[in-house]
Amino acid sequence: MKLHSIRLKNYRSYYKEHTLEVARSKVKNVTLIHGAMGAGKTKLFSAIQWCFYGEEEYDETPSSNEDIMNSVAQKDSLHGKPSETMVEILFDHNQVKYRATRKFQCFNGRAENGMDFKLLKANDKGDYDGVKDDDVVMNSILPKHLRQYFMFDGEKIQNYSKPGHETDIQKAIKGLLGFDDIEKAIDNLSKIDDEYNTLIRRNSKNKELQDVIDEVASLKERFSKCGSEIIQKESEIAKGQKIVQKIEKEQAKIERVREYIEKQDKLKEALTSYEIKKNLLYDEIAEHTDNIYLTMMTDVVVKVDSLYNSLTQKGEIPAPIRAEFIKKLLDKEKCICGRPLKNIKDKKAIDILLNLYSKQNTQLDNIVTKIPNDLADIRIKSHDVELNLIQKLKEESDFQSKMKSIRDDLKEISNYLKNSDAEAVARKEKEKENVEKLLDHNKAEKIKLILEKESLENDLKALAEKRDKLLSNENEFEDLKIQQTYTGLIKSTLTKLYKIYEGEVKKRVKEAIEEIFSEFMWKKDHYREVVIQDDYVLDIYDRNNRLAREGLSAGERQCFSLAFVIALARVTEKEAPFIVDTPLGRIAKDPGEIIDPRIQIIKALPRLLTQVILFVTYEEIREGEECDKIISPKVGQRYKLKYDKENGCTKVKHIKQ
Amino acid sequence: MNLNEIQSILKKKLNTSNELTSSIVEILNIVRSNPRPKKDIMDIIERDSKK
Repeated sequence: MKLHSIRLKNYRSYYKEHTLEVARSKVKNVTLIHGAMGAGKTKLFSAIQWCFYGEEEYDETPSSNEDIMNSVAQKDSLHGKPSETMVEILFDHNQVKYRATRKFQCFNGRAENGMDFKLLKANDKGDYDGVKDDDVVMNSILPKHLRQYFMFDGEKIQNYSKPGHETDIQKAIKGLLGFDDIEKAIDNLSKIDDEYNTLIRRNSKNKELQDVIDEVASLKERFSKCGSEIIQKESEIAKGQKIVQKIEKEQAKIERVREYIEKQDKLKEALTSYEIKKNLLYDEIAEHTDNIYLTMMTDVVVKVDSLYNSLTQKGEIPAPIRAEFIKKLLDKEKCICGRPLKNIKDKKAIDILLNLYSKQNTQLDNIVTKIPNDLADIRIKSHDVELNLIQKLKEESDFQSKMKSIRDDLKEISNYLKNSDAEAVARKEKEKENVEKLLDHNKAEKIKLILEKESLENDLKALAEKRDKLLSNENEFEDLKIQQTYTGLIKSTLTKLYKIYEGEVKKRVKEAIEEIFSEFMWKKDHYREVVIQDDYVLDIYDRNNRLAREGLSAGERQCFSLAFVIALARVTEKEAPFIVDTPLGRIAKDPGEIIDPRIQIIKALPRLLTQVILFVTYEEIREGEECDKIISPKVGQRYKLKYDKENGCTKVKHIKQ
Repeated sequence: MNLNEIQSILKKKLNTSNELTSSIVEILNIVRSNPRPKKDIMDIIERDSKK
């Protein structure tokens, strides 16, 4: 799947219609969408998911149409004409072009319930035809539950390398690699086995066999209940962990608010200092500009210089040179034509020469003689003026760009601070404690259930053997016995197959993570091997053979998590765009690190993936800085999102490459 | 899930007979596309268990 374009109308902060082309060439496969905090990046990111699946964020409660429709468009509909909210995405999949459109309308300020989804497929003529079961086809192209591994928030992805991540890792690997199908087959075979048991129980006259079958059924029921209760506990644990994460995120925000306020103060100071420096610089520029006339004389100077040289070569000016010229002739006793003067009988010619030689220098001659020095002087001064001016203008441009970047940062911080609610979050600390208590309780309950399940499994095995023995003595139910045996054989083979397949897939994911992680990482020799343990704990051995995940820095953790997600996509061989909101959000160069992890990520992403769409803040990738310089050759489309103060909506600006 | 790979594991690593392999692959195909596959799986078992 490769995206071609995204068209959105009256969606969230996007008032009226906006179209964004998506880069999809092999060389330039990155679409970079810049925007300060609150400019509309996440809304655009959500719009893609909403269009495909009718949900904005994975695993979140769907928003109402009232919330989704742009508020200005909603007001517009009060004047009689309905407003429409629509997101349309053009994409191709397996060499076929598709057009996905999701929309709904708003009448008299009220958004209609429900929404209309259409998936159209291009035919040979290039026209679009309808597709039967649009949702099902869309889901087969990129399953709804798998989208979280292709479209995600860069800040959340770190969870894959945090403690307690095993459930997420297991879910991701199992979901992406189709283990569910094997589990489903095993589950159905168990039900079929139960059905055969019921039939045998009903038709058998052997009381002992009937009792054993009843006991098996009862234990199986408890076994299955244990399984459901474990799943229930896991879901409660996951829910609890999610709540804790949410609270922690809010708390981190408070920490960030503090950091942002400090940063805001420092930026304001820096801006004032730049203002002062800029004014001083303007004074210097003005001073240099006073002498700019010198540079305007360059042409004249060159002409005069050339004229002077030509005349002196001919001995015409100035007088001292002319005298020198004549003196040399007289010393050599030679005529200007080359003949010796001794042979010249006409003394008059010699007199003329002597007369010329003895002629005194005039004041004009002296002035003219100085011309070469003056010209050289002018040339040096004019060159200096030019150089200084260029230098100062460059400095001025640097100042302007630094000040612009500071102003952008200040604006971003200001938007962020406006949206933060620090006090409310602080109150959640107590709630977090309660949730954590419940989490611990649920974890203990889960362990109890697992132990009970294991014990039931052993009991069931023993009972199954007893049942088989009793059954083998029965002469009836031959067909049923054969079918039940075959069911058991398929089930046990599938269970073995599951183990082997799971092992192989884990190995492949592990190898892919190692390869990709080494692309991201700068300390290639520091890490030796990635490991996915039996319980799906993802870790990495360092060169001293120690498990090192917990000691990874924030940047390394982000690289590790990204490597995991990209590895999954690679192993599943699913081609889908990689859409990341704030990919470098929490990453900064650690003190003491030589290499900036952001640069490593930015370098590797376009190389590792076929299509990349990045929603970034100006803090993450700043124009003209190294990250920008590195990614720019790979950027096929670049957009800037801006918050329009007038109507509170997002403005989309396409930046020509 | 790659069915070719599954087939290869069954044959090479588990030495499963051709009949059992084809029953399993058929069952996996059914569960993939059918939300209520029990009846179809039972038909396969009934048909193949006698082989």
